[in-house]
Amino acid sequence: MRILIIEDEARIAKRIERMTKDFFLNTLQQLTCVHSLVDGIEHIANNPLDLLLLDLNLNGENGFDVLQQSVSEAFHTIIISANKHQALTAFEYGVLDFVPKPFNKIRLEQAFNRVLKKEEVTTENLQYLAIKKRTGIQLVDIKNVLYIKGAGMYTEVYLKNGKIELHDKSLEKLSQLLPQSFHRIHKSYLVKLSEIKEILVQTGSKYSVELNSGKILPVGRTKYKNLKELFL
Amino acid sequence: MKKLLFLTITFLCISCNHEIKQDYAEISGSIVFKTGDNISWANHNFNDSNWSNEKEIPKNEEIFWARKKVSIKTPIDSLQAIGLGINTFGAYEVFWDGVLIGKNGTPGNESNKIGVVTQNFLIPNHLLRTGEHTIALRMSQRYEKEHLRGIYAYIYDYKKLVTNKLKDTIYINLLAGAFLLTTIYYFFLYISDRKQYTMLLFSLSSSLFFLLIIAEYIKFYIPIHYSNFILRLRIIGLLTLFISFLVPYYFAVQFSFPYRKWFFTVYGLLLIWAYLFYSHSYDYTAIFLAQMMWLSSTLIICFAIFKKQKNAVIVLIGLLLSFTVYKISIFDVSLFVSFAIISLCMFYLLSVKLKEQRLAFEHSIAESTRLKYELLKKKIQPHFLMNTLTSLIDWVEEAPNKGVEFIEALADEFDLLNQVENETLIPISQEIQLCKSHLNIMKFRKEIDYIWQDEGVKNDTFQMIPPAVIHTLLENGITHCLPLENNSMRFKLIVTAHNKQATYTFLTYAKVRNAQKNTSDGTGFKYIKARLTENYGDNWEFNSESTESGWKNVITIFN
Repeated sequence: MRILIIEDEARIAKRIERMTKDFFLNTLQQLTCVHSLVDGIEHIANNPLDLLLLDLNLNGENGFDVLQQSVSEAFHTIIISANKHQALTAFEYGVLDFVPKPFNKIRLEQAFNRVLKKEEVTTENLQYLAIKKRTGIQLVDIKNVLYIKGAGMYTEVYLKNGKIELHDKSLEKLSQLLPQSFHRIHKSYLVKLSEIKEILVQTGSKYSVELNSGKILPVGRTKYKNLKELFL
Repeated sequence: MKKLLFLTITFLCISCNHEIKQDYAEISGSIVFKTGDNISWANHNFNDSNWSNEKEIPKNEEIFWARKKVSIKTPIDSLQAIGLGINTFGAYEVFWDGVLIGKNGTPGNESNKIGVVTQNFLIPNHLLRTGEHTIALRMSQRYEKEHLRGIYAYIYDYKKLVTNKLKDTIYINLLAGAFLLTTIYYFFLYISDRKQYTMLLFSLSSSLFFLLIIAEYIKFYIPIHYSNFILRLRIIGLLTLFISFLVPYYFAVQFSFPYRKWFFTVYGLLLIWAYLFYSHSYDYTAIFLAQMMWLSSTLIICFAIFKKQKNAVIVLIGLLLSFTVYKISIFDVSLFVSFAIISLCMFYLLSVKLKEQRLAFEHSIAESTRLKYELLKKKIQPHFLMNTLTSLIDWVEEAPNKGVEFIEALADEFDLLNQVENETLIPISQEIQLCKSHLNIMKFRKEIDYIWQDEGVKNDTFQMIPPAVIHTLLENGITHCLPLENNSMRFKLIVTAHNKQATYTFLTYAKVRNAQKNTSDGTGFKYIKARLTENYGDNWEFNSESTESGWKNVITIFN
């Protein structure tokens, strides 16, 4: 696990550091702590990461610019902030958790468990997928997403307008963030339930779904039962 | 605006000329004069062809005669009372075709100063047959010998002759009463609030309008001997002079005209020159002065319109209206109607400004409350409070003794805040305490070695400052700077204060995170500026800039 902490309060940074070490123990490959956004952005650009712990309000600067960038990256982001009122917005952008200050060990570990998927994430707040483009970060409204296809380390996001966008997060990570309306029908597919027209059963226990758009996607054998229940 | 229109129209109506011209007679030919005394000079048939056309006033109370031809054109009803009005200087007896019809004073014996400048005489009806008649005056002029005032004679319906001007006076006195009340009311308002300088100006010009009306119309109801007539004209001239100065000055003050000093020096000198230059033709002086007043007021208003000042257009309309009235009516009327309109404009401005002042006052109260709230919010806003509490939990968990110290520091900070929350100014020593206690807290949070220094701090009344101003600068320093290599950050406050001005220089010795970043719009700076304005109006300066060694803020307060 490679973790970056961006926090300008020295004492709090130390606290987070200590608790993180205590939690991840020897699975921790790297733990870096920086005190400013500039240093944080630089670190993100030059080092592979698995998790970012970010304070939104640093030195009077607004951390939302960094947030947009960080949620578009492959790693998960957890916000640790004093401004609770920013929590909803943070979730809309696609953070894994929002830990309000003051926090204790239990609350922080709860957030870490989400990363390790020991804790179920029940966020319904995600509104946008932040997609990295050459020109900057583009926010895609999830209303416009039909389905998402896993493509190794990254994912392909299929939009209503026919466009396909690439997202740096894996299908696993996105499925953690996306609301219940998106369903995993296959190890490589996440589909918005409302877009499914019907479930097709073919010979040899082959299953697939037809979308409203006419597109046919495969359904995993193990996923079929679950999907059928949802449609009954 | 509606009100203005309504009042204007009302004044226009009541100021209309009530004189009904009914020409019974034609006053033909010039007046002829002769020094000496002979009762036969009163006769209609007397041959005055060798008399002089020039008025020559003999010395002392010596008698001289004046004769004038009058012709009655239309037959006059035998029951109608016809009068002869005469306006001239001197004491005289009036003869109509050799018959004595009246006298004004005692010619040859003027020491009792009886008689008025304008006098009306009833002409006996049997003398009013159609055809040519002679008016002869047996007169003397002991006073005002340098004034060769002519003799103005007119024949009208006697009742109208006597009452017409009195009727005008009634209406104009209503106006005078309004001006008098305004004068008193606004003077009292000024007395109760000496800062309301414009109210004094308005009260003064209203009183001048009042006096001018009284001086102009007093002749119709109080007999004025001709020896006092010039004095009255001089007073009118002087009143007009003051009004002509005061009205544009009032507009200049109301519209904050920038070049007041030199403009009004030049303008004042010009008015005095005009007053002296035209000193012998009083009506011209008044007209010229009024025109100057109108012109300079218009200039100032146009400048105000150019500067996009509110209400200037309405005042300009008022001025144009007054000019129109001045152009279309006779002098006596126009002078007062245009003054009334101008006065209404002044009135209007004053009421608008009063409203603005009230709104500004209400705003200032709201602003003070807001600032107080902002001061308190500094310590309960989540970023400060939650970060402090998080650090505090950590200290308590990790080093309970230090945690206790931290709690005490926090208690100190809140205690100090409670002491200053209701103040708008506090001694600088108290402000420093506030800063030091804040550093105490931040030391626990940031684990940076904060050093405080101050210079020139005294406990005197000149060293007062709005609460949390330096404190805000300190917060900015902590937020926007990084500690030096030895993990320290130094703050220094230098105070220089005397009775004229106080300067607070606040220096941060640290590495600036982002020197280019403009913080002048930040909430911190807004708070500082609002606090300074609340206490000092415009009499302060605030500069903030990065320096080689960190950051420099300078607050200068002018007393």
